[in-house]
Amino acid sequence: MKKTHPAILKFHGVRGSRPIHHTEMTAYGGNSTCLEIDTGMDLTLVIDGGTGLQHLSGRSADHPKHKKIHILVTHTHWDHVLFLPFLKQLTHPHCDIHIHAPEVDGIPFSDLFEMLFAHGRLPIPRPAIKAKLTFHKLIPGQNFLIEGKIRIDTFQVNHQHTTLGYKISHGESSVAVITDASVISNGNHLGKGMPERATEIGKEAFEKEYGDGLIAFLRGVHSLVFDTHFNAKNIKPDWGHATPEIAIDICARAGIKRLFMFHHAPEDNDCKVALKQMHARSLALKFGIEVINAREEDQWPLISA
Amino acid sequence: MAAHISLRFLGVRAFHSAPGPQNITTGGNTGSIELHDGSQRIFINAGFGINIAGDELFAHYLKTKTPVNCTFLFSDFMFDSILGLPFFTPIHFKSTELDILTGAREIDAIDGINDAATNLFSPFTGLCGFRAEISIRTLDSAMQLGQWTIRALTLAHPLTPYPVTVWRMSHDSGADIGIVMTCDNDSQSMGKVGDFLSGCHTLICAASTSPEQDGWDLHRTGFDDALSLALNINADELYLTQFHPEMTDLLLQRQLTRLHESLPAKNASLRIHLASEIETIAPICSIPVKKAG
Repeated sequence: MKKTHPAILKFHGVRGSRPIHHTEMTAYGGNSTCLEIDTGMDLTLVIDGGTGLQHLSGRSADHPKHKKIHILVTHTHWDHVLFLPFLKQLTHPHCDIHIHAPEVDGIPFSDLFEMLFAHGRLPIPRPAIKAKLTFHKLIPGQNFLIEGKIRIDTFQVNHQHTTLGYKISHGESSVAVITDASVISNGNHLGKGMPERATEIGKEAFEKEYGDGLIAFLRGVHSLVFDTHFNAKNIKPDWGHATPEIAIDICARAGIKRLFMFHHAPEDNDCKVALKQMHARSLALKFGIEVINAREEDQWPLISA
Repeated sequence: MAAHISLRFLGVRAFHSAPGPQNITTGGNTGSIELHDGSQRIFINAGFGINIAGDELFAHYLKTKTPVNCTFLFSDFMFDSILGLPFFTPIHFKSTELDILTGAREIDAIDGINDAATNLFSPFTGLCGFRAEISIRTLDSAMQLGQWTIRALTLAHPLTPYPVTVWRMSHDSGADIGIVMTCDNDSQSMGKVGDFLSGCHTLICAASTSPEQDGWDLHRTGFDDALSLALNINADELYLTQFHPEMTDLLLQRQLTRLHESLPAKNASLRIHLASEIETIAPICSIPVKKAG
């Protein structure tokens, strides 16, 4: 069997909640969420359209790799979609852009995208968007193939509205990306349909169902990008974010060997983010888990599990 | 004579944030300006830069229990001017009083805030979800706010369904500041702005020229428009802000040099500055005021 080159994971924006520019935040970066998986194929695969997407926006739309873009949207909070209308490739008629996203409160993402252009809130008039734009509605739990070769699995995580975690597999490379997710316990059920499901089968049964489902979803991947916005002292579970402790526990249970800590809080300067990594590494040592802070413009080869 | 007014550029970018070391000198947050005369704290626009001031005010509130009380002037309700507002920490506290002034209709401001804080794109639930006491008013003539006299000029803009606002802020101490954050650069608009700001000694003007023709800066004032306006109103100081996100410190410095070189000899005394987020309470601790007569 022909061995394929490992896919490359690229971080373009690692900050959560909102982008921030600050002199004390240049080491890890201040752009909001955007990741890229470079599979070596003639397409660009992106997760989320926060301001980190501007790192891709300058790429030549004439290159075959940059003509076709697939964007997986985890959810619609500003820090994940704000840059989408600014993506320069959207203005090129020969670009083919696919946006895969869940609905929000029954509203398709295509309608939400149009809402961004309404009411004169952007400097770009809607007619300037000339690329071929295709929206794909995602349902939690759905899996599909991009260009017949990249497998995408989805899982609804514990965050407001319908927020998806993605597992991306190509050849022997795989990575799971969960940008925003809180711990699910003590009735902290944030996602759409979750409180209803908890009522239906009972709180404890639902929390076990969710936890088991998440671990089953993640099992088999080598690397996990996970929300570590908070720390054990300042966590606010109902805000929909996690801590390094939660992320490490998930990795240990799912047998994941590499954790990328992601969605750094905009209040945390470089020093605080670095200290978070130091603390997490000490916790992860006994599980043999490698802990790495996601850092803007870092690239990592994705090793098979 | 000098007016003891502090000016801070909390955010200097138009369109969207541009964080990164390439912008370390000027800044990468979307636009927001703070003017403080020791009594009134006034913000112009609420891009993401506003969060820094919000956190400071909230920390001061926790320490002193003095409620936050400030005024926001909005030039427009595009996302780069308003998305920071839901993240302005004091807005989530009951004791806070925010006075929002716009040259547009009140309903345009309400729609703008609701679009920025919609539950579809944020954890917030619109204007009604904020706990602060918020008043929204249209300013259709001059208004006195402490020692400030605030005037608004509203202008049609091709990209917005509501008028955009140019502000003139005159202080009892003599400071007279024109603020042009969003304005079409067509000759008619620029003529009206020139008449409105005539005699201002300080001009703060958007310079949103793009490094390449990407079209975002259409219907926006650029570096040359800002300079022409400053010369037209006979300003002493010109602060350039609202930079295109792709204009790095280096490219901005080149534009500044070009402007300096193009200054006519008779206007050589005009001082031109790039707005900078890192000069926290400076450079204007005291604004030079024109001598009477």
